[in-house]
Amino acid sequence: MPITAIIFFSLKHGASAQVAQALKKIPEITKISSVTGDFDLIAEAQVEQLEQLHDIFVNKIDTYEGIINTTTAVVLKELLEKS
Amino acid sequence: MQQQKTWMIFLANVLWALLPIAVVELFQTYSVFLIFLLRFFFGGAFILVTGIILTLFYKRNHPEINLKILGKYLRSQNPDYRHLHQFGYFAIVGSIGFTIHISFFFFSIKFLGILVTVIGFPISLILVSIFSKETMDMFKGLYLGVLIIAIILIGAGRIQLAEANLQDPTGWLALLLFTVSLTVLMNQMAKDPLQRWETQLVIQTHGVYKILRMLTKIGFIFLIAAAFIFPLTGILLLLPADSLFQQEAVKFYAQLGSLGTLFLTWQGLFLILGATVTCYLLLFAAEAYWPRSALPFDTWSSLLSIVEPAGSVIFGVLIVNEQFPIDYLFIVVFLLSLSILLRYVHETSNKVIAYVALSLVPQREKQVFQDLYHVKGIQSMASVVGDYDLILFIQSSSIVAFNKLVRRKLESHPDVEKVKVFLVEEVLK
Repeated sequence: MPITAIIFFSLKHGASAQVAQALKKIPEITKISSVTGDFDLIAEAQVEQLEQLHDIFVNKIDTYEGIINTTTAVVLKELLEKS
Repeated sequence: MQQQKTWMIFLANVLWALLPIAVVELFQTYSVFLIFLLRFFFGGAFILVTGIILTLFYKRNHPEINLKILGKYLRSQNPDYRHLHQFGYFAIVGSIGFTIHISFFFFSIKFLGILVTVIGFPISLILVSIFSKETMDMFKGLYLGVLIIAIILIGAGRIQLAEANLQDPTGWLALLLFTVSLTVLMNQMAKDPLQRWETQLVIQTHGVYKILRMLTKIGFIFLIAAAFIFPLTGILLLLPADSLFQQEAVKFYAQLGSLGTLFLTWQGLFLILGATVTCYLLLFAAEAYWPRSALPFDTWSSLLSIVEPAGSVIFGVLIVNEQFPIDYLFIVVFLLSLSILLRYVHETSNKVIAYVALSLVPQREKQVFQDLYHVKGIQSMASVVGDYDLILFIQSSSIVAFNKLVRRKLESHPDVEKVKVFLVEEVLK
């Protein structure tokens, strides 16, 4: 069963387009939205194992310039998905 | 991806627009009720069998999907319908939403013609729009105004070249019953939310369960609708002998044996396979994999439903040769197309999409979930581990509605400690 993670990104000023472009290239990231509030971008990722999520961070996300910090929420259970 | 699914909705509506063209010739020979029975009995059976075959097929890759699970859905209660048993809900939708709606739609086509009958569609959309309690902005006002002008032009254009049957009140009564029952159907069809155990199944099966559930639901609704034609015609038989409804009911029982012959006509096959089974398969496939960030499926589906009357007007004039001033035809089609654009602008300009992250009082997740389950606007809810406990994905019709939801349902909830709102500015992927 796939694991869904919701990743919140805080970015340096003016880095939004560049980071979004890089994130779009990660196949496990299924959705990216630019948002208002404490964070600048929210991305949803789907992986088969948590190790895969770890690899994405180590090999890709952590290497991108422009990201100040991230907060990840791993979905334990989808409680509602309206049709 | 969304574009492809939007085209699927469009294609389903074009096929529905062709439906009157197929049936109008049959009305000269067969009772409207027999044509109804043909469509819904065979259509329902085909859809149900398709659902069963797909269930057995998918069972190989998704063992959690099986006929037992569909049986569990059928035995469950509908939480949006005062916990009525699903079959009770199907019976209401089947009888009012389909038996009355479609049989009197056919009746109206037979006695008033295609062009006058399609007036019922925009009238229903206007009624649904008025009763929806959505914010009335300039675009919604223009949308309703354009639909009203299109209705007036269709009526005026037909009356200019009036034929004798427009004088008969039976056709107008049929049109009224069709319009009212269509409005009821539009309001009630989606009142069947996924239950908690079903949500898990949808995720585990990557949406496959959603398609199978919809096939099962519509298959049974169609079969129930087909069965309801007997009590309906039974009541109509009690009417005076000179009534057109009574005559059609008599004709129905006299022609029941011809159902097999009717099935084998090209019109019969198109009615069942082209304008029923294919349309619903297209819609179900689009809905099951509809992207969450776009306008909801229901909104797009309602938006493009105007394609059906617009197509019927064009096909009615060009193929069936119904008398209608050609300059009016251009204006009506233009106005109906314009109404799609106006409605789209109305829906997108005010729409608010947001992620909302909640921190909860420990051990209270279940209670919060139960309280938020039926809140309109909350599209999805996920229990997460990390800085937050619950993450909601919300779509509201306006910023006012969104703020009300956050203040009244989330911030004021005794088990919610912290609410963080992230309004979506743009969906980038």
